[in-house]
Amino acid sequence: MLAVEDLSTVFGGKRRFLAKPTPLVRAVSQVSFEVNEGEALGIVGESGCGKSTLAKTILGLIREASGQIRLGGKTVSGLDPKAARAARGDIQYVHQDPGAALDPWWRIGSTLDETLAIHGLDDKAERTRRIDQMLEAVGLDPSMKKRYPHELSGGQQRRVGLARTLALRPKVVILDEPTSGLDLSVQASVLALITSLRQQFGLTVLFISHDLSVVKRMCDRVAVIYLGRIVEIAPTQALFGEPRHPYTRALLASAPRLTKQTHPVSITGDPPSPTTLPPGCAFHTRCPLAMKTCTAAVPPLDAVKDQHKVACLAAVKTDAIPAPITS
Amino acid sequence: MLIFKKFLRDIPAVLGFIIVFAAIAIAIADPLFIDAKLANRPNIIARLQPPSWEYPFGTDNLGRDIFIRVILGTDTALGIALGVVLAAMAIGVPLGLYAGYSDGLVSEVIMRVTDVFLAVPQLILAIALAQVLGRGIESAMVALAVTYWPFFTRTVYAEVRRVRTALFVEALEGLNASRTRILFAHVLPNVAAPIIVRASIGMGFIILTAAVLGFLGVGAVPPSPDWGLAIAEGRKYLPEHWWFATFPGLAILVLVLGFNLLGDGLRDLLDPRLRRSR
Amino acid sequence: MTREALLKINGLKVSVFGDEGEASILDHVELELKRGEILGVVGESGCGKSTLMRAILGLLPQSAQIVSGEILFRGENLLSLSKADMARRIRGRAVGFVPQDPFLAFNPVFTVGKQMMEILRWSGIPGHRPGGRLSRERVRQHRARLIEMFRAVQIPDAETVLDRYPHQFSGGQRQRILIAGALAAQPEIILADEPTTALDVTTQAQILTLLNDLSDQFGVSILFVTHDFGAVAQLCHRVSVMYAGQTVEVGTADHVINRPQHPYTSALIDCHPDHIGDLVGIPGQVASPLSAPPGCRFHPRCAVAQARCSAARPPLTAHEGRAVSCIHWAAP
Repeated sequence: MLAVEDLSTVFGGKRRFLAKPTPLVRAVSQVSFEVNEGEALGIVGESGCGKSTLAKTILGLIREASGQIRLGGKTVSGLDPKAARAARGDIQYVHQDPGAALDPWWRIGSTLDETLAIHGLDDKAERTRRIDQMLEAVGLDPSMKKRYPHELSGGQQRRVGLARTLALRPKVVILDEPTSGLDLSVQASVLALITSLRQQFGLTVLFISHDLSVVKRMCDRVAVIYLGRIVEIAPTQALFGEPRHPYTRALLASAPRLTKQTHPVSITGDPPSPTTLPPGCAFHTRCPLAMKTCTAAVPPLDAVKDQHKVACLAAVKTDAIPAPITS
Repeated sequence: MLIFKKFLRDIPAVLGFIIVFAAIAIAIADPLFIDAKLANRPNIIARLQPPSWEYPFGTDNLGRDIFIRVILGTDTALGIALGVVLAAMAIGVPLGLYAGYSDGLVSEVIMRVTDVFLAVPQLILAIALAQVLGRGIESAMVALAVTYWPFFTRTVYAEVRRVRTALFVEALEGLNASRTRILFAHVLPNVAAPIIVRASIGMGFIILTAAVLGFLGVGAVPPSPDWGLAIAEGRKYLPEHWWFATFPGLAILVLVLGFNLLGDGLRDLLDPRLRRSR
Repeated sequence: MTREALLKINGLKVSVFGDEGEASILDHVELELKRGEILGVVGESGCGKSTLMRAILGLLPQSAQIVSGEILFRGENLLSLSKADMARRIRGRAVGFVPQDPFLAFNPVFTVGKQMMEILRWSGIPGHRPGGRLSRERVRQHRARLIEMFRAVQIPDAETVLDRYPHQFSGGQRQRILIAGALAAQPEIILADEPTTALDVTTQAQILTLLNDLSDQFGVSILFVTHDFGAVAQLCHRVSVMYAGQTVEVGTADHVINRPQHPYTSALIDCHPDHIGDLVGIPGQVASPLSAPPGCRFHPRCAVAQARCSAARPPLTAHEGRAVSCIHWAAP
């Protein structure tokens, strides 16, 4: 459905008139993955790892520096942002904070109506019909159309965000942190809604999150990103059952779980700044398994098992590393 | 209704509103009671009369009733201010919207020109321009509008820069909405509050500047009942005939104060942070 | 664990009186923090945890009124203390505070040192009275104390921290600095308001470990306010669950998480993504404090509610270290 090959996005690095050149930031480096139709791919990483930039690049809001994006077999990369967005109309995005993604001066109904109108649906009655249908699908009352964004609760705002995106009938939906900032009970109902919408509309989903427990529950496969690169990608079962990359293992060990862990912290320090990436594997500064060769070159993303790929020299060499967590 | 209640609690703002409302009512209603031609007719016998029951504000050097002329001056003052502010908005707001939303040479040029205008004191520029265009209310208005639009451009520019990065604008870009739609249907309503505040304070400011132009003899032409003009003439009769210059001066003071109080009140009322907590 | 109670809150009720009438923010909060203990206060937004924290610090807004109840710190009712006494003896001194967002807690234009020294000036360090003129000697002692604390919270290059600016530190380091600042006055209690919410997972885990170590090392009690049961499971000895301003369940972290007794606690834990089985959420929404339902405030959303649930609030009955406010809870 969606294939991304060697995708890189850079910021800055330009010389400005009478000013210092902005530092070059490699936000996304050589990312490759494929998502099959109806599949949910989780993209996991900490803040500043480039997961939102990756989403916006795929969406076409930011222009890629290099690499290819193919949507349903057609190449949709190498275009300027306006054309890229038009070519990628089948990919839609649900914002991290859907409340802020709604114009505070517009009623919900008007916003939804406008969304469809922008997409060339000129028949007013058809728009209304589709909006009502979508509101029902996300479990909102049609009376919501008369409300303003600030009158909605956090959970309702997420639902409106989902309805807005789904009304466009996209093939691929990018969900950016769909539950961050929500209370646990609201998060649970939003996750349940996403699951049912996926079944109902057969959506292909890119699920961006920092919350491993949520990703484990929602996704078929998971890619772990550290400083703009995929360090490990595998089916959910394999990733959580036999994590290979030391960073993945650290993330899993750090996630606050309901059962008390005996060795909670396995890595120390903070990620280095993306403007001054360490040479070689970017994780070697914090890695318990780091070797001399790690600083020489970026380790390639190699398959260790059929669908399980890891970018780590140590992980590939030792085939069976004991998993830190038994769950 | 809560917003109305909140406004009523702000006493200076209510005072400003009453002054402005009264001035507008006077300007609309006065032709019903006062014959403008009669008010301009000299009456040498009654020249320079102190305030009395017959002439509440006294009479001027030509024996005209100052009270009536102050009332008629409201028309002129409000007319000039409204015309100038609307014209300045018509120029300044679209420029600010465009410059704030897009990056590039055009935006840069707009903002540098704005900076040049703002760097020169507005009054001096307006005087110079009015001088060149010739004496008269119309040329004064043109001069004021041409020198006032950068204030709108600056205000709108700063606000648009803030709104431009808002998530809802990004969401619209993600939906591939047209730039015109984003700018006029979404960004403009979100920056409307500061524009309204700027317009209200601008009204007061223009009334003051127009009076200065009249005072300096580059604005209104006699015998029109302009406040600035009246002060210029009354000045020669100070201090013994104090009422001649004082009452037009007070009229300017009160109306400018009214617009400023109202503007400040609106600023508090329309502040988005306060609006959200409603 | 039969240690003495350091902080005890009995039947605290706080209401805010505004244009729209009385909003009952806290309704009968019970809490007991023992010496050296880490107690989690868990609840979703609107449960009143931040109001509770402000009440303990004596920082309730003007519009808020304490309707009834008491906050006993070593047997002394904090609610009867004067503002000056709260500021001099309690806030920052006996009760340290770690704020939620380490990115917002600093003023970006001043060095860390300038800001931390200002805090110490009012909270003092052990062996000194706070306030008063800052002599050169006093400044030197304060600096030394802060550097000692920075070492304790494991910030690299502790000596140079004071002369750097906040933006030179990552979120995790800033949170460590704030914790060091709260510890410097040698408080007996630290109030931590969601100290890990704004942080990344790996950093979060580091801060939790640090809090645990510090509690052991300095014998300080921690009141850990959070919405995250995962963090509670990792850090807290006991936990108190709040819903819409009411304390609904208290017990050891292990018992509450694995064998919740109150229907709300149990529903909330079922919402955690780690929970096995379908996620359903809790139907309905948290009641507004302006129109709080009578009796047990959870009853409109409760699956096992009965008629008498709306009649009166079930008392928080304790049995063997467990206390639950529910008619279905029968202490054996």
